[in-house]
Amino acid sequence: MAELQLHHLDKIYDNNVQAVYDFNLDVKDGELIVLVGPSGCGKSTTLRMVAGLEDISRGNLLLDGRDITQAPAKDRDMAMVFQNYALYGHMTIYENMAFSLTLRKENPNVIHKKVLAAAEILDLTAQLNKKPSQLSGGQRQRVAMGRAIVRNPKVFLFDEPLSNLDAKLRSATRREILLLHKRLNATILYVTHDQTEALTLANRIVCMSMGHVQQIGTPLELYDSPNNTFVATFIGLPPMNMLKVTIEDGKAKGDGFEVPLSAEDCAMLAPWSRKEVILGVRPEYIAEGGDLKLKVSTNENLGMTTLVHGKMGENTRLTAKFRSWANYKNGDIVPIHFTRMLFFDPETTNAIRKEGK
Amino acid sequence: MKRKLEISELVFKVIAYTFLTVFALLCLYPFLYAISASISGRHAVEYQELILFPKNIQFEAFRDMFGNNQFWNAYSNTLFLTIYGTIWSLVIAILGGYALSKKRLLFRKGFNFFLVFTMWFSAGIVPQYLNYLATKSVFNSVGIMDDKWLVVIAMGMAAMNTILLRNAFENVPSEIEEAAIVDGASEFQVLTKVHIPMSKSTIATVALFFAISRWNGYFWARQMISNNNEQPLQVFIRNQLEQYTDLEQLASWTKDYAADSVIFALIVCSIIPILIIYPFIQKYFAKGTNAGGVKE
Repeated sequence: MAELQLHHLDKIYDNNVQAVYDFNLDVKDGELIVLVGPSGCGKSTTLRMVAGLEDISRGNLLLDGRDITQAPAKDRDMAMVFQNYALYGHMTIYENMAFSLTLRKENPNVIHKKVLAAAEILDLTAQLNKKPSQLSGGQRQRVAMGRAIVRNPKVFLFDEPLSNLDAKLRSATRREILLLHKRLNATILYVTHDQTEALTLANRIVCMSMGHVQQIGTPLELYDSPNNTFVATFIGLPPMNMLKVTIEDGKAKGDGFEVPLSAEDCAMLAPWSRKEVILGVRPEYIAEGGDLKLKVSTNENLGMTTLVHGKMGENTRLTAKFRSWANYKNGDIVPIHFTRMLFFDPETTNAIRKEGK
Repeated sequence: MKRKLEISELVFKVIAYTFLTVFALLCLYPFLYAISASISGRHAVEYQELILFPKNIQFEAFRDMFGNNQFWNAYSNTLFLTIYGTIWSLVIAILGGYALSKKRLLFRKGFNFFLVFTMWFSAGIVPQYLNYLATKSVFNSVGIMDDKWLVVIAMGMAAMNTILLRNAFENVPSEIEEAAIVDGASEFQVLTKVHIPMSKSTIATVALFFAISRWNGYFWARQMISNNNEQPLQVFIRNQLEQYTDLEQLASWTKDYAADSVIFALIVCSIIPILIIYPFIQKYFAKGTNAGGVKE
């Protein structure tokens, strides 16, 4: 059992720069939480506060109900995997994995068993006598994970563990982390700037920007109904198209296009009548055929899908993702329609939602 | 296929190798001459007939020297000063360098400045003498009267070596230290299990610097150690030199070898340990031990 509660965490550095504002999160036992956001959003700082590597300026951190806000890192029973592996270069893989248990003066037989078991899980048995410098990047990151597993900690912390791996290894290691999570049923806090990792790994995602939590929810919640324009554009690849429109006569009118609104949307957008709002359309919410016209500038075939970049009107840039192999040329006019639309308040950037949603 | 050298590269290589070979021979010559003079006959040494190879080979100078108890006594004193001195100086330099490498150290900039300042503006022997007096008064107050320990303890600090170690510790990636902290290491364990093994090459280098300076230590031993039986080899050599250059002594010299041969034999014996140790430590000079620990 390991439940982690982060209550109103603030991080203010000595030079008065505030990196994290009022961070609140309850992590349930066995949950994999991904903190996602661009560089400098405070996600790593939050993780380091949980690990005990940074002081917590304000707020409380509770592990299974016990307040560990002031506890030193070594007493928190958490294991961390770093972006650059942080292996002890002078030790063998075996010694690296056994290090924390050796420090705790565990029985050597127990250590041996645990190291062999972890090596087995991570397919590192043949590498145990090697030094980190003799291993590939993916193997080194597995060693770093092995070092965490042998400790059987209450909470696993991952700080961008896949960032240094190439694309192929990254997806393979991502799957391994997923399997590991299922197998150990561990509570995991995972930091990444990669929204794909967040969507594929997380039970719940915490999306952050400029030190503030923007939204906490399941991957589908963040993808389907983002709280604001930041989450809408950060989650999803390619990012959501953000179009300026005016709500008028039951239509959303933009530069060079008009979209009729459903009765439901009309009711929801009544307060914005004759005002400007932001219309959010994911590239995958755009389909071929319809009244709207997209003037193609580039066409990218990705195999199963095609990304088509172009313009509607003079200044409205749009990216569409078609579920087919298309071969549009520069200047082609493609008829399209929107299958789903989201609306955002241009002042607050918050999503405009139906009452009660 | 091997690439052909261009003329300019070839000329450069020829000049560089020639220069380095000549320079190496120049460095080597005094050693060879000392060995040669220590085992040559009296006439060849006294009339300076030696160039490189020994003449009228004899080993009496060595035999007589090895038979001299004072020599062995001085040798053991030097070993004492070198071993304990190196250990003590290393302890100070490692602890000092580690503390100074930590950004969270209070007044870190000030401490670093004071350390570097002593290197820019050396106050000669004054601070060392003050250090000697202070250590001596502490020794006296606790009843330690051993002058050799006085040399070991009072001459322990070396700014340059402390800075070398500070830099080495600063180069240990912070993530590795953090990994150790999360793994449950105490501050002392972070130092002994992570920083020291990862800075092995620098520590070996610094240890060699300390050992050589302790081995060659002459001035302070002569000043601080009052008892002749406690003097190290370097002071003993100096005493012998004074003795054998005394004209009266030389006039009454009746041996088959020159008085200088004894001095050269002493010098040879005093260099040998350094020559033996050097190759063992040399392997650390070029090699770092942190390869592969973190992604650079």
